[in-house]
Amino acid sequence: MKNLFYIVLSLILISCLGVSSIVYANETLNVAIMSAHGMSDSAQYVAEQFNKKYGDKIEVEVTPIGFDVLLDKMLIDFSTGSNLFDVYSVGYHWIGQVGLYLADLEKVKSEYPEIVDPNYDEEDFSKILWDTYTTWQGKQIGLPFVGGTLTLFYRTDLFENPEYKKAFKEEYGYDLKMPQLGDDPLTYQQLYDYAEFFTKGVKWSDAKQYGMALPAAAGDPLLSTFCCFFGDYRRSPEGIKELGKVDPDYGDYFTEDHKVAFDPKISDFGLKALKDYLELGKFSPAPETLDWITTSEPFSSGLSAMMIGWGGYWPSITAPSSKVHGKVGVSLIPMPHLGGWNVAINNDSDKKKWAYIYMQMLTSKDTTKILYKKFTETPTRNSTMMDNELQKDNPDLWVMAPSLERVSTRPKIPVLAKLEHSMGTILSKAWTGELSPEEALQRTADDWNRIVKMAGY
Amino acid sequence: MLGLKRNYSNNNYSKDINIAKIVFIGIPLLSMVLLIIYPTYYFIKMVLSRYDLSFMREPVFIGLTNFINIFSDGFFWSSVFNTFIIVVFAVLIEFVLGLCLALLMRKTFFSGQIIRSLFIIPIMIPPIIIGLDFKLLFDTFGPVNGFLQIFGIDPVNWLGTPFWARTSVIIADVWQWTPFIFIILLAGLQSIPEELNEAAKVDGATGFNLFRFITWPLLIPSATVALAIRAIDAVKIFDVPFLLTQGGPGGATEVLSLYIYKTTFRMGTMGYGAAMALIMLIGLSLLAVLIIKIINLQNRIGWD
Repeated sequence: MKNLFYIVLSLILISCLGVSSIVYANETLNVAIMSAHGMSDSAQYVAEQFNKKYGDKIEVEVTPIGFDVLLDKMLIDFSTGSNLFDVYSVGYHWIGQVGLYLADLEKVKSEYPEIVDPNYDEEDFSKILWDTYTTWQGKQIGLPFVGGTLTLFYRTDLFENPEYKKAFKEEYGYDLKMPQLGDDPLTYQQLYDYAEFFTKGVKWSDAKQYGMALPAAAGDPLLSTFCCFFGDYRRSPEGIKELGKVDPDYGDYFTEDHKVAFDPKISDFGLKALKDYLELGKFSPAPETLDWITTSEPFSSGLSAMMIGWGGYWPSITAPSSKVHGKVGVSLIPMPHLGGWNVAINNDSDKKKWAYIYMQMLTSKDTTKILYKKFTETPTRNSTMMDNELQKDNPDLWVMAPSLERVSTRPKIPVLAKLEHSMGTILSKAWTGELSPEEALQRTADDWNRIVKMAGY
Repeated sequence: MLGLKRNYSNNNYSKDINIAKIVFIGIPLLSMVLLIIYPTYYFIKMVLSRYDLSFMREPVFIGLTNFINIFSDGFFWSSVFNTFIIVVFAVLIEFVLGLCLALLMRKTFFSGQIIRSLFIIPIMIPPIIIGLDFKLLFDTFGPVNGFLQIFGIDPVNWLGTPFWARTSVIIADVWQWTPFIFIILLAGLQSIPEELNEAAKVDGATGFNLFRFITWPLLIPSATVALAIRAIDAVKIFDVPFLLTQGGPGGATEVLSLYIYKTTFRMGTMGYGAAMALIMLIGLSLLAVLIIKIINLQNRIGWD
């Protein structure tokens, strides 16, 4: 009797497993998205729409992954062929490291022509954005998902104060004014003057006051922000003449023939840019400690008159709980730097067709507008950026399209992480005073040359 | 098997023994192969290979090239130096503070147990939390600078200058691990018979002499254990510099384990990172032997 009981129980358990495996027989499209701003929320929202439409065949499961570990996870997944995720959000600067493992979307489209949306409209993306986010070594490896350039945030109450405007005009001889849509962008001299004025030219705060919160922490902040200063020279007519055109795969830090462009042995643009960066840093609290998040803290706390940061930080900086709520405007820095993310397909995925359908949904014209309204994640499409209704409701939106007209970019080469580490360790010694700017720049250039040479470029 | 009557004839007994051997030896052996032997083999393979995750799915044998490159890698030596500085100062301060606390707390008194329990709370906090907490504390506009300003002291750029950044890492480490030294030394002190001190006092010994000639010699075994464990553990420091400074500014707090992490996972050069990890392992092993030899542990506690 006891044995019969065990046999029956075993059969029931096996049946349950069998039923459950039938119930959950639908395939899953696994999507890994960076868990910041509205990115993962956007992906989740579109996943729900996708599942409503295709849920009888396949369901999308979105996994938010932190910025600090996303690249590590991608590299491990790709190099081991584990195929943990079918779709990844990929920072464009990581494309060099993971590009070989991403599916060629032209091949996917030619294999499944029926899934290509005729209304997708690739022309709706600016060329620089399309070239930077989606192409690598002649292949299309992604679709633009989230945009963003380094943007100047400023205190509107300070810049529009009649007293301060008068005092500034008396001291500097021109108007205190932040460029708006259609105006000429700021020069670095103007930015410097504004920062100096609000640091020591006028007393606008009871606490310690700074003209600028400027990121210079080792790593991505230093690499990207220095590119704003260097890119201004690099993309000037003199820069193009001396260093050649900017290769989209190599970015502003390399010459047209892929030498280190800021090397003092090649030109003096690097040193000029570094000195501009260091000079502006005098008006910032401890720039060598400021990363993307901590840069917004002195500004949000009302201690600095301006800050340089990613446009995506607008919602957190201007939240009702922020001390500067209602007092923030945005403008163009003289040479914005391009950030941003694409969505790409793992080449090991056996669900490329569904992956492409999902990615197309996520980045379509209509969806981009909806996602911006819901989650205010920085858009990639011109139709969203230049939408009048959206611009009325979102004071930071107007700056996005103009910032793409003249923008600097990072390299998309496999050794970027080594270059970033090298710059973060050596060039930051110019910030700490351990090395002179000349020495720091030359040593960084020498190390970059060594890294690039060892990698065979 | 269900419902079979057990029949312990010779054949069945031998069969059961064989099954028992397979189960009780085979499973642990399989676990060893899976968890120790195979990973060790693969680790050695990676150490002798080029394995760049950006474009390789399998390591490629390059012999000792990784080690040759490591020895000419300025960042590696810089990280070794940073680790050395932080470990020496942190462990030294932890030892002195731990010893002072243990000497103060050695005599039991009312609420002593409670206070001792409170002292060991820092050890129980995950290092990652310690790193985050101290990052907030040492922020330019953080409470530490706020406290200093009350006394008219200018704010310190704790995380932005090499000296203060290293000091911040050391302070965080000392805060967390002094209680560890304290516990071990307290146990050592409490094992010293009180009669020895009393006898010494009768002979006229006081204060520092008591400590120097009675307490300290008998405390050396405990001190050795505390120092050895703490030093070896400190060399592996990672969480605090990772969260506090990310190795900056200017690489001043980039300790060896952090550089290995960046090389292996951020840069994707697994073979190179594995080779550095092997050097670190050998270094730690030598350190352990050195500490024990220097303090002459074998003679003091009768090891053969």
